[in-house]
Amino acid sequence: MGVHPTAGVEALCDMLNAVARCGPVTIGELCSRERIPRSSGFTIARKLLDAGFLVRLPRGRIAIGPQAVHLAFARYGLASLAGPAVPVVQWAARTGDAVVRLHAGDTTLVAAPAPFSGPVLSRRDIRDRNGASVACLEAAGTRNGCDPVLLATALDRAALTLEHHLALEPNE
Amino acid sequence: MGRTTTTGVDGAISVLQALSRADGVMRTADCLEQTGLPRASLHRIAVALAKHGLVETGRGTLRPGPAAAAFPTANQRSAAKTAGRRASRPDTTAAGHMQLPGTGPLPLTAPPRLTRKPRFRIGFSNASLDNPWRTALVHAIEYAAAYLGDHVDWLAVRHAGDDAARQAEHIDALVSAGVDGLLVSAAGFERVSSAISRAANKGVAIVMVDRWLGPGVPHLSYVTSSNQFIGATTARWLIEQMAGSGRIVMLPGLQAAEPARRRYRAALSALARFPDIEIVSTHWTGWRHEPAHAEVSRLLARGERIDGVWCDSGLQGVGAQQAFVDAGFGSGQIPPHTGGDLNLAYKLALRHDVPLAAVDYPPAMGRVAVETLYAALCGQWVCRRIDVPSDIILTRGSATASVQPTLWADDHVRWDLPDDLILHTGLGQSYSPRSFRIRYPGNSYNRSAAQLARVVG
Repeated sequence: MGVHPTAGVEALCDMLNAVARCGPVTIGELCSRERIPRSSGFTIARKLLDAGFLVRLPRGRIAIGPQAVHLAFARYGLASLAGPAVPVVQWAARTGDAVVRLHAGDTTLVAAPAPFSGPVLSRRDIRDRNGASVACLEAAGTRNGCDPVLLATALDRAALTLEHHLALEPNE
Repeated sequence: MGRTTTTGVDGAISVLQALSRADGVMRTADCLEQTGLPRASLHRIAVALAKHGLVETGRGTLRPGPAAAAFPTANQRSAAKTAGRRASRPDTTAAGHMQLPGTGPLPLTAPPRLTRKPRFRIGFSNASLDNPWRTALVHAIEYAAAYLGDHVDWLAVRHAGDDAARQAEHIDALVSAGVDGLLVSAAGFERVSSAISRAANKGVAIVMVDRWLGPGVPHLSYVTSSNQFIGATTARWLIEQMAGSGRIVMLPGLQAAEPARRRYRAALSALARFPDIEIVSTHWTGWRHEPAHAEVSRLLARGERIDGVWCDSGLQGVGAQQAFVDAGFGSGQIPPHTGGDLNLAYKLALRHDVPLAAVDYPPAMGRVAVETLYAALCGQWVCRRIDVPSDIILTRGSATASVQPTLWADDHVRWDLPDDLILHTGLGQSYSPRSFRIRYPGNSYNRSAAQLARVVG
């Protein structure tokens, strides 16, 4: 039959990318969509669930898990922000009454409320301990309008918090 | 095929885990050492991962690929889609004014080590149900639990009647029933803090809402609205209304409740800078209108001149306003009052032309508390303290030099809804406490736990 020795890895990649693309889905649906044999699909999904790359949701659905999110932040050397980024961006959005995102490279890592849209009103660089800009926080307005002073202050404090976590040693 | 699949998949997962730990570009030699894979296997796996964009290979290096960068927003996109489908869901927690954020890094809490479950059991230990604000808080919490839908196995709500011993029993019982997360609005310190510590030791995630017990009692987050801001802003407005001199009555809320004490202290601190302001009387009202009415009536009967009334909430403020009306004060003759929350407080002020300033204490914090607890149970970091924003509400013509409105009282009042409506609930324009019905895992006949408690009580 000539099975490719990395067929399982190919299936793993297809599953992760499909869940990222389509959102929460059942393993059965995923196997049908990606044409993965069900037995292999369930085995791979169990391994990804155990490793935290996927999480289990109600009604048998699975979604992207914290380990996969961690991997995305690690692409930009921002693994230490994988946890703090969401509450910090949400806090900045709530305090500044704006839509706020954490942006690195060409990717939005976190947006609150998602999705980020509209012209950027305010921007703060996130710098590592050497002073190099590694990411940025950007804010766009909401329908309610926002107080620019409050928004700038909120972004400053959010950036300070992220830089603080970026500077921490991994075991701190 | 089974054996090949198992080996290759395990290897790929260990490569991805090693890349996560490496935080950026990783040398292939380090990856070989960490994963224990043979060089040829790592090469084959890396090529397959790179083909799908999960890894980028360089000369002797590996790095997470562009497809991995899409992972964080995947769940946010699906959450946004759900929110879009439920577009009628109001989001008033994002609106409103907030004081300028503090300085220094935000305190955050790392997620507790919990077993990830698809459904969570949530308990709410409520201090009491003795005023309309507390009913609105229960409604906001139930609304949020209903919105989480099948992510919640059940929600159980217990009211302690401001009895700390009873609340401790409730917390122990909820833990015995198997709650994963607990919301607590604390009725007292010692017994409740012991019960919370016991719950935390058993791995229950704790989020405090409205009333907390200080930083020493284990909790992941405290969701509130700035009581200091409420007390200081309303007191400053009253001082400026009275041009810095006059006789005022202080009618704070419940002395045993930390929010009331905090507001009162903030108001006193603002008043302390004005020696020409005389406090005629201070009377703790328990956030009930009857004691406020009785106290103001007593002072008026004694012939005391009152130039202003400071209340930390309209719950008791309506008693004070009504006492002036009952004493024969006509429209425009009643001195300035503070304190909002309650629809009737705004109705009375507008009907009798009373200058009024208020910063509502938003029951919408209940919804934020449920969302925070859910995030923590899902393994996310959360803010150690969350202040839900609120507006500065003034009657027209009563803005002062330093206190400007973010909302006018006549735009805020709901003439079409009951007097006991609490505003800033985050439950939408049509919310009425009298007709509120909700369905969530754990209740029956769409009845709110607040309604059931009144029936049983």
